[in-house]
Amino acid sequence: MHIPDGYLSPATCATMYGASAPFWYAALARMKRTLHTQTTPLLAVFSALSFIVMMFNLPLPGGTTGHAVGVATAAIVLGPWGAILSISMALVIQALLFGDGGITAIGANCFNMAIAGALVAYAVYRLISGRSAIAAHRRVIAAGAAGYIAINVSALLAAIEFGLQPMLFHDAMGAPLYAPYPLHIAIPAMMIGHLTIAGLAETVLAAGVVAYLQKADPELLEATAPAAARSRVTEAGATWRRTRPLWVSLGVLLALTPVGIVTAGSAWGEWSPADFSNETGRRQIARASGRVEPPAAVPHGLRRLSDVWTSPMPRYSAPFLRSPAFGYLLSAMTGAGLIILASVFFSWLQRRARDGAGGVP
Amino acid sequence: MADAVFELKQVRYRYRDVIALDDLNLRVEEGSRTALLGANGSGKSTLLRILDALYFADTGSVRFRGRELDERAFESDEFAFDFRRRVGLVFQSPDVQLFNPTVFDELAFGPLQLRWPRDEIVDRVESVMERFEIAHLRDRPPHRLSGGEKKRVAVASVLVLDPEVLLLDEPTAALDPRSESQIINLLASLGDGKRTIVIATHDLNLAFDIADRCVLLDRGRLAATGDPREIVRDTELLGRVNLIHEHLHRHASGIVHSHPHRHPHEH
Amino acid sequence: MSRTSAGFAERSIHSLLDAVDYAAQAEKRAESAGLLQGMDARLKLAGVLLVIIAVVASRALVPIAAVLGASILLAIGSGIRVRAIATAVWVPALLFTGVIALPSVFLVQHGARSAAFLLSRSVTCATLSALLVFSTPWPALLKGLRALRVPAIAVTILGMTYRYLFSILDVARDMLESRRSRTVGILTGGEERRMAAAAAGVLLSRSVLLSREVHFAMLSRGFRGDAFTLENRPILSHDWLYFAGFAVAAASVFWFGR
Repeated sequence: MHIPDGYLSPATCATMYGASAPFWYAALARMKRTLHTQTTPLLAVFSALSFIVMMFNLPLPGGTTGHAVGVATAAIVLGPWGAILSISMALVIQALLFGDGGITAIGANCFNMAIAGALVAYAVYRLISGRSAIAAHRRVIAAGAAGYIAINVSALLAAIEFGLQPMLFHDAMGAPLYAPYPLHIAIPAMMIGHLTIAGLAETVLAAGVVAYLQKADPELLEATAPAAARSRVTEAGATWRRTRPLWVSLGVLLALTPVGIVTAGSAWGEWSPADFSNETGRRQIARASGRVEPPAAVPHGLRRLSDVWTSPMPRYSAPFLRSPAFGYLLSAMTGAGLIILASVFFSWLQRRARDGAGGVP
Repeated sequence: MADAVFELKQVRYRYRDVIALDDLNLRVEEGSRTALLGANGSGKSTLLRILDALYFADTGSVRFRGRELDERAFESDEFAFDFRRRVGLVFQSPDVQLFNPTVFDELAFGPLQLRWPRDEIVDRVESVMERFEIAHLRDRPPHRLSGGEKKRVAVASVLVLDPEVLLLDEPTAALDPRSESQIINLLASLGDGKRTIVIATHDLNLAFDIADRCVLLDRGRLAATGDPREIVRDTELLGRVNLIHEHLHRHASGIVHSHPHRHPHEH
Repeated sequence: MSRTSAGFAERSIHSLLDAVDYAAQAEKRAESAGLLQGMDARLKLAGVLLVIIAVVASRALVPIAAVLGASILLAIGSGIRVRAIATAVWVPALLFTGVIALPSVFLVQHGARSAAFLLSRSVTCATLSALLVFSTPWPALLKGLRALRVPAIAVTILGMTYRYLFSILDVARDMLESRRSRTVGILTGGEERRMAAAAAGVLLSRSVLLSREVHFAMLSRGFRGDAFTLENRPILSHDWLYFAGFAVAAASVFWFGR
């Protein structure tokens, strides 16, 4: 997900740097205020650690491997501000030293992964873990969910940044200057990989590390658990009835993700081939495209793509509901379903590990 | 009697569930070379950190040249800078001590923190590098230094401030014999009467070679103080505090020997 | 991306070793003699950055290609083997961006031209970055960031991060190697995941411990929370000359690519 140079226009890059800068400064100020002299070595060591974790080849259910960013783990141990800084530093080193990610894109990469990722991971973790004890089963689920959602939010943001490029930046001949795919291609392309492999990798890492720390070094989990019941008794696996209100809140959170897309003005580019052939459609397109007449024939690629996406979710929406916002909402709900499935899977794994092996790995 | 550089009275320090130091009384005189002897866990590292004001005693009094070392004293920049310049601690692990990107940066760190003028820093660093024969390593990052080089740089980075008190935590641990003797020679050469040296170690040879006084710690308490020559020979005492052990070995002839394992050192 | 028979530990060890290798190579190249190596890091960083921005902003393909050509010449003049750049930069960039750009030829109007932009830009920028990094030791590069008004505390933390990267890499490798040698037979997915999580957890605990110790070492030498850097190399006249060269190149690209 590290965006290289050349995929984003200078304007986009500058915007993303501008968006990231206040968070960097705020995070630094906050860390210095709370930790004073400890901040410097703690952040340095942690960003070195996240850099290394990004190189771990995690085995995933299904027999594949994936890489995680470690943003949820950082957010859970360091808190959101520490995570913002340490992941940003790791990304800077990757870009500058190892050429992984572009220099002009550092602002965008940090915003997507370090800033949005850390804040979302922290919010989800706190939301789900609530007041449960440090050693509670619920925290492991919370961590897994935090990782999954955070990485997908990061991917979604990156996809939006890509998807907006062809709309906004093209040369005299009309060729896209930067990332060439509009939103309705960029988003599924990015999200598929992250909703599955990368997302699972992040889930595995976050849930696994929290489960490990609960036994080996619970003190490290205390920074983000101010209200936790400090009891030594391990909570039994949470039942659905108890956690339902949390899932509802989670659902609300997910429902809000399409808002970002809608406000980006995604109406442009979301036309169907039919829009190109009828008069009202053509006039609409022309008006939205600065009075440039759309080509007389449906662009070949667009028609092909439309066919591809006719099933299962025709451009994210059922045929009778052409509203893009609703379509994205549906995708988000599907994502939520996957999260729930993943969490169930993990709690099953945990239970099996506890009953079967009966001890620390 | 020389001035007291450090005076500790009934110092108690607790770390998590462990009482690391208990009812400790100690007096370190100016120009003296003290060896803090003790097994692992005896509290000697903790004591060094108390002396370097990295830990503050829970109860009791810790004074440096008459000034009480507590958190409040260190709120003042002026006092903190003065203390940090006058007392230096060489940590056991060079990986912890060498945290700057290059050797030059490492040596310059202390003076920079103390806000010395730029030219003075450069001059001082150059001369220290000459003295320690590490000038050729100036742009080297720490992970590309050998164990002996790391130790030399670590010691140099503390001595660049010319402290009047030098604290060392296990200075010869994990060093090969050649580097070990280099460090011992270095420490011996630092004795010009004005500098006070305190070394925490479990190496009896080092204590014997360098120190003019031994302080023996056992589980956070003071077990004995005295002349190194006496302490080192008191096998019963040393056995009690776990500094030596009974060593069983079999000779080729089949005879089995058992005796306290230490290396008597002749000058 | 299917799992080979090599376990998680083995694969991760390889990645870690590659990273260390790469960094070691970069360090060696940066210390050898050459055109770029002789230039002051601050001006070099600013100059290369200007050209990168110009390349990203260009709306024409020819200026981008020209910069790529000039970069190759600079590399040769600095004793950086073109093959090194090819393997480290071009192959990954072409693979990665190629995969992304190829479908656009079919799916997007003017797709071929767009793909050309994407490819040429990402390859050229990656080449420029590589030149910068291959010809500058990391500590000097960091100090160059100070000249760009990056806060001292950030530069200090980055410097420490680099330094501790190697410490933690060593610890990680030792840990993984010992686990690898202790596990007999193939582990199940679940077992491997637990091992991976435990490895990450152990590294985490030790990293926090390390940071606490380093914190004490810093305090002991007078650290009060402020960071300072010391630049001990003056800027010479030939440095300004080089910088002017970069500035002119950037300006030309801006002009011809507008």
